Amino acid sequence: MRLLRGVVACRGGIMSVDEARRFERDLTNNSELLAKIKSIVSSLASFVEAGKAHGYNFTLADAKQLVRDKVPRHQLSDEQLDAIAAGHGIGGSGGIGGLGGGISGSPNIVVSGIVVSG
Amino acid sequence: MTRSVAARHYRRIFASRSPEQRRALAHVKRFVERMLGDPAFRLALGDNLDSARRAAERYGIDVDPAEMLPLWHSQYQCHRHKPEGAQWPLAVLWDDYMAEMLRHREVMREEGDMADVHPRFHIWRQRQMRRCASELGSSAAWITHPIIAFELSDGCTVGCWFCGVAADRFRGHYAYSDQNARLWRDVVGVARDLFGPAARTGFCYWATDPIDNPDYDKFLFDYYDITGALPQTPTAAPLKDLALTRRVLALFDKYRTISNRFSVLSVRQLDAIHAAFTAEELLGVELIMQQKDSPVPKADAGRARLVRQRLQERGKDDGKEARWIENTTIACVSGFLVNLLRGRIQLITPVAESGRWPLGYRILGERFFATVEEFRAGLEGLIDQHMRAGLAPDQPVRFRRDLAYEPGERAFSLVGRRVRHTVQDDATSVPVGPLIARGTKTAFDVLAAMGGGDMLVAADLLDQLFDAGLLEEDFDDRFAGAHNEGLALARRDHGAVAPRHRDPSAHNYAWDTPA
Repeated sequence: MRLLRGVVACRGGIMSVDEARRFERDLTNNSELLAKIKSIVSSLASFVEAGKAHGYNFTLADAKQLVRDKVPRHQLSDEQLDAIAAGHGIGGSGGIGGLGGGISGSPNIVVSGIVVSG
Repeated sequence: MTRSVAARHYRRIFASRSPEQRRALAHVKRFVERMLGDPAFRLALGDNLDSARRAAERYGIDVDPAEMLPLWHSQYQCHRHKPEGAQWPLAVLWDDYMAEMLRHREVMREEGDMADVHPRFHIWRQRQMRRCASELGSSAAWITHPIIAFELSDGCTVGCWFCGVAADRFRGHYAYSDQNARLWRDVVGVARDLFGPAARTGFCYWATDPIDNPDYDKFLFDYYDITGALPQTPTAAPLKDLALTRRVLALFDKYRTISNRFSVLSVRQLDAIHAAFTAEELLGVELIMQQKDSPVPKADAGRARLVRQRLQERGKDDGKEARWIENTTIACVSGFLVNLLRGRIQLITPVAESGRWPLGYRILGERFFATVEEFRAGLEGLIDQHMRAGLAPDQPVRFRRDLAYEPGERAFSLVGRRVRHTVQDDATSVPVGPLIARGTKTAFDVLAAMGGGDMLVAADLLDQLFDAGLLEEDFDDRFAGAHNEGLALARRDHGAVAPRHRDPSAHNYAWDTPA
């Protein structure tokens, strides 16, 4: 029934982020589904695959958007990750990610500028 | 064949300057080389302009030191890169030129991007770049992460005591025979087909000296012909085969893509290089001063690492000298190291030197080939096996071994030698950091510890940590440690370092002669 509802919802035009949200909600409420998922997931991409296998139609971008909606400070942009790659975090007091980022980098001699409550 | 973006950028650096400016730059460069590499020249400069002008003239340097005081006079250095510095036009000319050369380094790094051509390799290389920035700190900015390097010899005849990759004893070169040339061109063609413009970041040396291969310039031209980029040529023996060196410089003049590089091992060698080539001929050649008293520090890797350890053991290095940069590397490739003579492909990436990786690069895997089909299969096999897009499901999730985990309030810190990362960890009811810090749990285990509502958030954090290069990927011990013959040779006889190239003016270390 759940599978059918998922497909119908997609056909009905419900946004994929909503599908991701529905998948997450069902994981919370359906211990049988949770048990199945736990044995096969290791990354966000694997959640997308697992979701598809159980009739939830959403993409990796949708899953990331869901996480971003839930935890705004958790997402690093590609630019921020690239800044880590380019070593731009060195010497700054704010570190990579700054106040809004999840992961910061700064030299040992500089106290990391990321503010957990920021 | 499309034109290389990096090559265009590099050529513009020269084309945008007048012949007079290029000539002036060549002589400023020679002045700087003398400053860095010749104590007698530094002494001769003295404190006043008359003595400086006489010294420059005596060394055949045809620019007026008075026009570049901020470059060399301690009392004027404070004006460098400042508006008032405009009154010393040669200093401004030099600094602008160097700034563009530094920018070229960034362009070279960008030329290795493969987001469209080979996303899997691209993502892996990006992750290695992030890891290097975290692991190596500011020195990582010097690494351009070329995607492929070819060795056209086996070992090296020079045997520099400070060789960061501890080159093996020379065993021979890969001759440009009809058969070899065909395989070579096919192999470079495969690299171009698979990796697109990123193949232009490749070069033709590693633990070898290009000049040890008398056919080197033929291989070099082929590389240009196939990829559109003429690789960099560095050598510590530019005078060994002067005709070959001149052929290489002629290729540079014709197709210039990137500066070449001569390592200078002694003042006497600097004299000989300056005598053999005019200042103008060397404008496109960086001279790296590797003499004992040079201000250029050595990466503490390979044989240099061994030398420093022996110095410390014998109480001759208190660790305060600036000659060493510890926990760094001279390795630059995040991709493939190919030896044509051995028919071997290794997948490598730079790491901080350590007992585990004493040569400053990690070897992830290895394949052998005799045909171009095997070469292609070798590349693809290494990519399939080692370039993971995400965490391996069957391996523990751990923080990198060089990072110390520090729990904190709603966050945790990962403290490396040079960089501290702080990670927010308050979005799940069960914090993720402590689970990873145990070092025994797989990604499955970590996610299984979460409630259903937290699993996606936790998976996203794992992904971010992985993408940032903060999670350990180095689980394979097969290639770890010193398997390199060059290092083993240096360790022999109580750690004696016995360079095959010895210059009378070079510093004599006590252990040069085995006890």
